[in-house]
Amino acid sequence: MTAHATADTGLRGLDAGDLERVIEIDRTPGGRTRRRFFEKRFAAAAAHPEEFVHVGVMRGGALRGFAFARLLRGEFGREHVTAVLDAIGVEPVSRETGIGRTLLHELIARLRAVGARTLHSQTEWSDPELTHFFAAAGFKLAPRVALERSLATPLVEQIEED
Amino acid sequence: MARDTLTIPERVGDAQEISYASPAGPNVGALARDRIPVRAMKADDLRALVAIDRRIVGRDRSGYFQRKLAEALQESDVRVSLVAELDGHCIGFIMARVDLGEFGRVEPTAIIDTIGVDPDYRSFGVGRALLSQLIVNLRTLRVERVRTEVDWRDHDLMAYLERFDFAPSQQVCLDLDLVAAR
Repeated sequence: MTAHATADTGLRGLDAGDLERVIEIDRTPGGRTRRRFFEKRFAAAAAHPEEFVHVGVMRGGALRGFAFARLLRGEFGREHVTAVLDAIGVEPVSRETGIGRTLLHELIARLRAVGARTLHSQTEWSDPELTHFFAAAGFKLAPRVALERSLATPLVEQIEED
Repeated sequence: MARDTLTIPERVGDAQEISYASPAGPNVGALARDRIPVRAMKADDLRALVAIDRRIVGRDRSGYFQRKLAEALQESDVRVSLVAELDGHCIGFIMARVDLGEFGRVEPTAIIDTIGVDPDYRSFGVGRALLSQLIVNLRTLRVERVRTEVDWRDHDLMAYLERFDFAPSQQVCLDLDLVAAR
């Protein structure tokens, strides 16, 4: 990961020192965190920096937002580099101030710089704020469908062939 | 989820790593997973996985599978990826992830990344055995749901997954063309 920028405000890569702040920014209104997810992402990014692109926005000497993308090579049967937006977040008091757009703009620039040609993401259908954010950034509906199965019920099985 | 190839968990540390990918007990009847032995995926399965994938897609994706296997085995909190064997040979695999959340509880959603079946064994119920065992294992872990992504043009795969009670989720898949969107 890149070193911290020295400027009080601006854009920079993330490093291990940002872990707790990122977890805090990502905390849900209900208080739930994704500590394990971010611990693993930061560890993986430190071990394999060539597989991650990340950016943070500094204001007033503090990290106000972050974006994390993972690079995939050879997935989806393609040779070109694809990126997956793992996480993006802006602290609640700094929302509606353009930080999200700045983050995504910078992330896209960094992804292009490493040769990524597509950025994949997912959002909840019922989250109009995030859906609008992605739409305004130029995202389109992907030719993929997210399928889900509840595990509340067991699989009804019988002997049969595929 | 790629049709040809479909991964799950990440790791806290070796001491905390748990494997729940073992097959179910003997009280489940003569189901697909009983006829096709299914076991936990191991690091030395890489060569077999790459060979199956090569037969499906027609090219070598060793690098890609090396990363996916490392992700499934080393970055996962809970190892749930499986391999199907017949006569000692790997004939299929499913790569999936499920993470530990707060207080050591598993996250409610598991992700299936890749499933692959040797083309010579497509009528042997290998995919069913793998999916069936994965669902049993995830239910044992008290995971609430399992999710995957499928190319919307792959009607066969979508129909296949529907047979396992998969249905559209409330997640919307989005793409940004980084070449065009300048």
